[in-house]
This record gives sequence, C-alpha cells and structure tokens, in this order.
Amino acid sequence: MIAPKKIAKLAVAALITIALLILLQSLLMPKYMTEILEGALISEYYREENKDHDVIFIGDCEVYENFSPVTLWQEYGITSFIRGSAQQLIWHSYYLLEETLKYEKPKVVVFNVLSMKYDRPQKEAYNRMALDGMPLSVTKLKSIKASMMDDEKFITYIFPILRYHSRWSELTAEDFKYLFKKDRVTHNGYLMRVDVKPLTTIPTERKLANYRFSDICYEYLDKMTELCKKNGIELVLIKAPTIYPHWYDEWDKQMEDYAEENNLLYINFLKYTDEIGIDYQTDTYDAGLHLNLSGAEKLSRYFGKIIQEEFNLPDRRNDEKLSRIWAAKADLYVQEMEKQYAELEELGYLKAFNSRRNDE
Amino acid sequence: MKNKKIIIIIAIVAIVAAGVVVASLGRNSNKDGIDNANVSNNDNTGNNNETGANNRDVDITREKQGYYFEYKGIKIGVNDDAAPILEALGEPMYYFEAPSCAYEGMDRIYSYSGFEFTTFTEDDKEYIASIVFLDDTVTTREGITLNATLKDIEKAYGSKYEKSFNQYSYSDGNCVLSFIVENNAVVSVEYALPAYSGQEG
Repeated sequence: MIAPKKIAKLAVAALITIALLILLQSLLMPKYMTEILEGALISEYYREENKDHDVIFIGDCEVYENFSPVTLWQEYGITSFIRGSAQQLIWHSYYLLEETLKYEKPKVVVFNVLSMKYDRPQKEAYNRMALDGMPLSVTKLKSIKASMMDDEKFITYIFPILRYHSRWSELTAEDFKYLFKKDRVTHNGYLMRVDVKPLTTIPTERKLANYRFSDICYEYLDKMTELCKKNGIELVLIKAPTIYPHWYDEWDKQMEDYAEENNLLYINFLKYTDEIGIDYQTDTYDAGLHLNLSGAEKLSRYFGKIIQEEFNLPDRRNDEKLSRIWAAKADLYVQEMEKQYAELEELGYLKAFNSRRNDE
Repeated sequence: MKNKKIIIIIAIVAIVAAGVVVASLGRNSNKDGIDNANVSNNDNTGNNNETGANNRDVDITREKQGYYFEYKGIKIGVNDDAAPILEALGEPMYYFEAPSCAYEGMDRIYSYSGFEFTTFTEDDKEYIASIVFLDDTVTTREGITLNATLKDIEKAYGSKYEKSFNQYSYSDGNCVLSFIVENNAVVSVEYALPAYSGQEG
C-alpha cells in the first residue's frame, strides 16, 4: 500500500509537471499581438465583461474589417460585437454562433455570405485563427472536426503544444511579453485600419463551370437559420461591398431565393454603394478588397439605420451603465485612430499590417 | 527510488522550459516571430507544396513538356518563374494584387492583350498559378480559342477529359487545361495548377 505521504508527493509532482507544460504551451503558441493581428480576434470575445449585445456579426474579413460597433453605438445606441476571423468558413461561423449563444442571446445575428463559395477547408492557418482562440467545449470539438484539413491532427487542437512545439527556437520578446496577458487588438471585434489604397482596376470575372453553392454550405446555413429561429433571433444575411473576390449574380440570386424562402433579410451592399456613400478612392485600404475606417463607418451608419428600423432595436444610449462602458470603448477607438494616423504620418504605412507585405 | 524518479522528471521539464527561455531571450522581437505566427509556413503542415511547386521552368523559350500557353514566342506554363516571363512580356495593361486575409498569400493578376495570368509567391519569388484567355485573339498551342466547339476541343485534345458540369479538363500532372463550354461554344480557357483555387478570402 502506498503511503499517503507518497501519494501527496506524486500529486504535487504531477501538478507541477502539468503547470509547466501549460506554461510552455502558452509560451509556444503564437500571440498575434504585433503582427497578423487577425489571429487574436476570436479570443477577445471571451474577455468582454459585458456580453449584452443587440447584434452579433459572424463571418470572415468582410465583417471584422467593414463594420464598426462603436459607430453603431454612437449613431443608434446599438450594442454589437463582431465574431469574425480570417477566412472564417461557414462551419466555423455556425459553431461560433452556437457557442456565443451560451453566453448571450442577441436580437439580431448578421452573417456575411461570401464563405458560401467554399465547400472545403482552405488552410490550416485559418483554422488555427478560428479555433485556437476558443475555450475547450463540446462546440469547439465539433467545430474542429468539421474544419480540419486532411493532414491535420485533432489532438493538436486540444493540446496545441503538439502543433507549436517547433516554435521553441524562434520565440521572440513578444512571446514573453504577452505570455500571461494580451492586449486588445480590436474594438468589439472590429479591426481598425485608417490607411488608404484606392481602387484602380477591377479584375475580370472568371467563368465558373458551376455556380450553385454546395450542399455542405446550405446544410450549415440551414442549421444557422434553425438555431436563430429556435432562439427567437433575427438572422440577417449580408454581402459586404467589396469588389474582390467577385460576387457573381448567380450567387446573389441563390441568396435572394434562400432569404425569401426562409423569411430572412438579405442585403447585398454592392448594390447600394452610392447610397452608402462609399468612394473606392478613399474608403478602402487595399484597392477594394476591404474597407478602411472611413468606409466601415459609412457602412455602419447605413446598416445601423436599417436594422434599427426593421427589428425595432432600442436606442440604449440613455442606459447609464452602457453609456459609461461605450464611452470607454469610444476613447480607445479614438486613441487607436490617432495612433494609426500618426504612424502613417511618420512612416507612410502601418507597422502591424505591413511588415510581412514588405518582406515579399 | 520513486521519489528520485519524480524529481528527475520535474527537473527535465524545468530544464527544457529554462532552455526555451534562455534560447529565446537573445532573439530580436520583430521579423523572426512573423513567419512562426503564420502556422501554414511550418513544415509540420506539409502544405508548402500544395501548389505543386516542382518541375519549375525558368527558360521561357526552350521547348516545354505538357500543357502551356505560348504568346509571341514566349512560353508560359503554370509553376514557371514569373520574373523572366514578365520581363519578356513588358508592362501589363492592368495589374491587380489581392493580399488574402491575415496575409496568408497574395494573388497578383497581370492582364495583357487577350489573356491574363495570376501568380502566387513562395520563398519571395513569384510563380505562375493560372493563365486565362480574355478574348478570341489568343489561342492554345493546339489551336483552341474562345468560341471553339466541343468537337474542336476533342479533335485537338482527344476525348480523355474529366467532365464536371460543363467544364472539360485535361491534365498532364503539372497543369490542368480546362474549357468551359456553353451552348457548344468555349467561353473559358484556363491553364491552372492542379490544386490552385486562388488565395481569396
């Protein structure tokens, strides 16, 4: 029989080992604080203290670059959060929504439909950005299973140290600085950019052999629709007003039909760019692929009015507690904006978004 | 005895952790960390060759194997180094670049009279990912232009194609040559890497 003292010693040893491994794992995982900020987006939601949002956005870069929750608050008193990630595919979006509903029940969920064009996982890096930031849960396990590429291993999402162990020789000061606490890189999920790169050319649209979205994408869209209906949430489908990748008329028609069949609101903002006031010479930072701050604020003002009227969203600016919270958010938003303008003035580019581009 | 083993295990883990810390402190904080945050660059993924980065050709005039496009004596094949081709072709009529989300790649589109091609970047070099015909002023080496018929395609390439909806594809292992046919007229001609779907997103 093992003596209690020995058991205690064993337990302590096991705990110390586990703690060291957890520490090592935290150290080895990418921090996404000074570059590739997109990798930090998903985890930011869990640090949000006030998870009381009227609107939740889910989707790819066409949501986290194109809508400003601070503008929605300032103009309409609508509280919102963007649960976006780089090339978020529809199964990522569905499971993120399922998980978000464990924390709160928004009145409106907005889903950007560009990802309907992808019927299979594209890159491990995008999976990592969508999944690594989620806490362990049954929903996360389901999302991993749905998302993995053929050559990925399920276990590496549960124990990321098995995936990132090879980073040990390439760690930098950033890995130590943000080992225990990360900065916020977004404003309620909005990744701000103030730089401008005007649109000069619109690439020729390429013919496709088949324009019909795949069954797997419809399956997840159905699940999303069902989940929202079950929870009394209004699902809004949108296509952001970005000119590349090309959004085909045939795709647009399918979304129109789907929205009609399911009694959903679908807005293709590409049809309303003049009404929104988007100027592709000043409102985009990468020649029409994403909007910059100016474009995102215009789009938010336009969209906020629509959803407030359509779904009777209350103007909550009279709520003192919320007003204090959002005033603080607005301060950080302005600080970030001023910091970026100063950086542009000094360097001519934004460090966090340009170093890798300059490497090429 | 057991206690000693436990102490040894803890010591090993602590030494590994300490080693990581010591090895890393000397590094600078900028460039080294970038590629590592990008997990797709890690060799564990096995994704580096997903675009078929082999059999690359840098000679734009010598005879090539398989499917490739030829324009004014310049041979353009998928996976070829783009630099000598761009130099030989001169300034494109239009140029468009599309960095994908989180900068997981960059599509560059170069448009010339009658055709355009897209490149991808690997190890700081650009390679041809796909070539697409824009009008019927250009032709495949086997004589197919836009507006040709399915019969013309079969006559030029045979009937061993892969059909997906109205797309007819021929593969030589390195390049997939695809024709989209609508109302018995070719509306799209594309040379592409077998796994290439663009970097959009």
